[in-house]
Amino acid sequence: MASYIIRRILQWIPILVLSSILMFAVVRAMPGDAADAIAGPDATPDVVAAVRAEYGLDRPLPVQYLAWISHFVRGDFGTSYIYHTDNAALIFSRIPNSLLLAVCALVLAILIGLPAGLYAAVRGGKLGDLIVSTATAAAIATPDFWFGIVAILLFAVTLNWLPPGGLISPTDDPVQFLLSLILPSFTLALHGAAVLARFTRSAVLETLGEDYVRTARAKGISPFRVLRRHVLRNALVPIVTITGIMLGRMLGGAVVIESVFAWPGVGRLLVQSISNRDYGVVQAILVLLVFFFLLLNLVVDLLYALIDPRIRVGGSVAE
Amino acid sequence: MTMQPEIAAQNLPLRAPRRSSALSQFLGRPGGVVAVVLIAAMLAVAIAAPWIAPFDPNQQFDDLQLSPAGVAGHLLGTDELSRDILSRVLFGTRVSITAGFLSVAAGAMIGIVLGMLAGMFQRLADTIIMPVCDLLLAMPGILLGIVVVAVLGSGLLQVCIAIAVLNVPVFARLMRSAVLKEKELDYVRASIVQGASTLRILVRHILPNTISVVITQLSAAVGQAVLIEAALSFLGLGVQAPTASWGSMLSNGRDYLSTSPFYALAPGLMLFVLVLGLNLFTDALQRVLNPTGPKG
Amino acid sequence: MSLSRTLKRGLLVAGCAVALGFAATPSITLAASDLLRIGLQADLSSFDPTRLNTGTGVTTNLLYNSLIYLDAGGTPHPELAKSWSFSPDGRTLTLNLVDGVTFHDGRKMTSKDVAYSLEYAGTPAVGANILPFTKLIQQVDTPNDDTVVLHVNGSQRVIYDLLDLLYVIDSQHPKDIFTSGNGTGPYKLVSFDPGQSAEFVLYDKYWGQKPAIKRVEIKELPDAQSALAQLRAGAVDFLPTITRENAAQLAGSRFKTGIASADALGFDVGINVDKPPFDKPEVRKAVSLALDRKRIAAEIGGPGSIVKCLPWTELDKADSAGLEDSCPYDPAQAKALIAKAGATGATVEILSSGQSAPEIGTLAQVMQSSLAQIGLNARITDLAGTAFVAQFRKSQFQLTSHSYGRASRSAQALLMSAVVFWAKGNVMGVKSQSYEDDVNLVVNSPTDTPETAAAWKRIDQFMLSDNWVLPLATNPIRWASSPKLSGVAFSLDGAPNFDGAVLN
Repeated sequence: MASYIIRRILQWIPILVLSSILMFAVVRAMPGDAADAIAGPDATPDVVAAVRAEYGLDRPLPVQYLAWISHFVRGDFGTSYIYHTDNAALIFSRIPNSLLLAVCALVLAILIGLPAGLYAAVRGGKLGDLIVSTATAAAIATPDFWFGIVAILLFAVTLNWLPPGGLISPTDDPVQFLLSLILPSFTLALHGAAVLARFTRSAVLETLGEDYVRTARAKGISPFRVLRRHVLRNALVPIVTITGIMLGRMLGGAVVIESVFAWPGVGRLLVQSISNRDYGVVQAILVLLVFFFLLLNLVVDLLYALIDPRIRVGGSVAE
Repeated sequence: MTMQPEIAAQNLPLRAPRRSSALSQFLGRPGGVVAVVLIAAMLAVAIAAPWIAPFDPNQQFDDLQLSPAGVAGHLLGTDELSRDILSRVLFGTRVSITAGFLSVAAGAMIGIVLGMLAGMFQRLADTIIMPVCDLLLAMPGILLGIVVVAVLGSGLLQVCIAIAVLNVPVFARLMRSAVLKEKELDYVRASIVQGASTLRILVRHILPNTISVVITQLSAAVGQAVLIEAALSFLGLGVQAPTASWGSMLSNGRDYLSTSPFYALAPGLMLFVLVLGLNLFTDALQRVLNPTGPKG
Repeated sequence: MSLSRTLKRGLLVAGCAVALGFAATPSITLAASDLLRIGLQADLSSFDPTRLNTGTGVTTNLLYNSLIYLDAGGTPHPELAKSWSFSPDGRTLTLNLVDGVTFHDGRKMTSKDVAYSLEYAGTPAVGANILPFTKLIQQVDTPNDDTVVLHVNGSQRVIYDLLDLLYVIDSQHPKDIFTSGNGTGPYKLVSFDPGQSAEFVLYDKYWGQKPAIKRVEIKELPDAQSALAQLRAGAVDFLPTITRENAAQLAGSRFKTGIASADALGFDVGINVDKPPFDKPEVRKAVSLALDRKRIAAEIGGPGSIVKCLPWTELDKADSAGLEDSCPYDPAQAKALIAKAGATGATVEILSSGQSAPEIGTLAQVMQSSLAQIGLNARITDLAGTAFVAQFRKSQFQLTSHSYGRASRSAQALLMSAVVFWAKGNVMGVKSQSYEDDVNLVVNSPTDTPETAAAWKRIDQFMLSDNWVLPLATNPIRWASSPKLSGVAFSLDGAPNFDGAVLN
């Protein structure tokens, strides 16, 4: 087990090196640089050149890359050109916010999606299945930012039940903190829950058709027990996979939701930093996202083994 | 946030559909009929926009800023630049359809070729193609879109490129695993033993048998592409003004929800209908192409 | 099932752990009237007062003081300088500083800090936006701790603008200027989460009249609609910048709205005189005739927007008397000029920064429609801020929809700081020795003379005949607040000042 994990982690190295080069190149390919952003349109060329030199942006790109990566691997993410604080502190102050929102949305998505999918599968072809299928198709077709806007208008502005956005510190006001989580979490969970419901439905249906389930049923084992012992256990493997992917997407991909709900997450920091050409922040976030994705993949693979002892860690499961 | 349900499609059995009954099966379900009607209607609107739109979508009328629905023949009113909202919504269909279909088609084409190569030549795959695909898959779609647009600049072409880039790894992975499974089947092995060329095996055996997976994924990807285009336009990173896009109309229109509700509601509804149609289409496809599954 | 339950429980525990480990800021119970909560649309990036812009000016007035302040009529009033006097030749300015002013860290402010602040703003690598004004200061003497002597070579109007904008910073800790906010102002920084939020408390040793509000919280709300929702739901008390649409939405509600500055920002069209067909003066004239400035003021600037033909404020209008109607809206004549120049049907490109500033993008669309009417086929290239700046600075455009700042300040200050009006190195490609001479004359003369009046007339005529930049209308800065807040004042640039503000 331990050697497997070490082997997997060693495999990350080339991927991370490749991605750091790729991210660096992409970020520097954006038109205009940090000096343009700092000096603004009304600066003379010599001022822009002075700013560029001040931040070391006049050095050749390979030199800048090596300077960045050699610090980065030692955990020094550099200093933000715009915020003038440690990039690592900047990013890691946002990650808990994003993680909080993503985890809450994921929990909601699981709490709604899993039972709904299960119900639809058990009711296969009947009215309940049709309702779930239609509702999830509709949920996926609803742009989440639009859903968020309407939710703010209804629950915050018109009814005044919930805060319209922003994150309230739990130490300031625990009740408001919980309330402030509701709208953004539900909005972010909208697509996730629907995708999970559909996914669970098809995974369970697939397992229901397997021979051993039929055999178990034929043996007279109660349907609930069959569902619990055989169907869910097998259906859970793909479900865990998609849940892992979903967490990654929710963590980094909530940009629009963060904007609509004034949520201080990583996505917003990234977008802001792209527009400021705050290279260190952008590069660090992008590489961290790749790292997180690799980590998540590993965790998901380990979970497989936990769920289904027949799967050996390191075996070819992921295909 | 949008998911890429590549795994959903991977669960499909890789068997050719029973073609004789596929169409009747597809249309035999209410979902399939509704999907076809919705998509056909949207395609018709996109094609016929110049004829059915009452006005030039970019024409700025005098003294009609944000006029309410029905004034001076503007059925849904006018926007902040005195343009006809209905015409803009109708023309916006073209942007969504283009972004949806063309970009996914382009991304899928590249992805399929890469995936087949990866499936046939595993060493190449494991060293170059798959790591890059994994990297791209690691990025949430909208972020990748934002980064691509930041480099290339905004515009419909750039958005399409961004969406195509998103889809390449999805299709590459899908195709690779499909090819790997097919390769294990007896008849393909037999061909290999008989000395058939790789290209021949790919074209004659593998491609036809994996097509159902690809089609289902295509259908799902188009719906997501439409939503990503809308999200990018909503963030102001989509098509160039003055071209009407539903996402940018939603973004601008939400400032006027109380006074000109149709400005944001109409593009939102169109977006919903188009993506719903595409999703129902995907569902129906999945049912038809997945004969072992129960018929829901 | 048990496994999935374990999984769920695990996730819930993880979620709660994250939630509990969250920003543990100590909370102090405050009366509602003591705490002001501000929703900032601009990015809360640093407290360097030389980086002040429309959005971040709000923190500058909390943390810092400048030497003087200029009222709406352009009259200087004492702030950190309790008095000042110019030498008879206008070349030497002696400033006497207020006694007993301390920085938030307790150190006494001296003339050395003033000198350092000037030096800092004049350093090119800082990229300060008041850099051009500092060039008028040739030497700074600090004979004692309370006196600053400036040897100046330029218009007193600009010197006053500079002193109004020169916030005094701590000379002992120059590296900390971005994040510490150690100024002499009425509020002291308590916490700062870059790009997110900041908290301030009343500085107990503040040298001036202490404000009524004890504590200020700023949180970044980049989305305009979301900010409005927060105001409506009572989560914030004040929004220093709101869109005209949002102001219209609040009209008739219990919330207050107003104009922080009607003329600090101006919309303009820049025309690159080196790029055909705009190398022909009649084509540039045609663009001016094609633009309906009144419509642009009404539909983009909104209520309070002032139509502009020349960029000067009301205070500086005297020299341009009789030129008010020099830029009429006449599309027919414009069309004829385009035809005469053989430019009909030409495809031209409008460079715009609408991705960062939606109203600039709207202006580009109005331009496009107006140009279509006179036979020019315009395409819009809409970029995000930095990409726009890079291309703009390299003169890579034919036309640009643009906005300039400092429009509420002296005409001399505008000529020096807004790139579109520069006599030298102008990105529009305009070059004229006589314009350059005239600009130098008005900028360098300490006071108004008959010579400067004549030079102003020639500058006006040149702008109106050469048409490389077309001022159109002002872009008012609007604010909104809860009904409880009153007494907020605004600087010439539209930045709020809460020294006299009350919440009840």
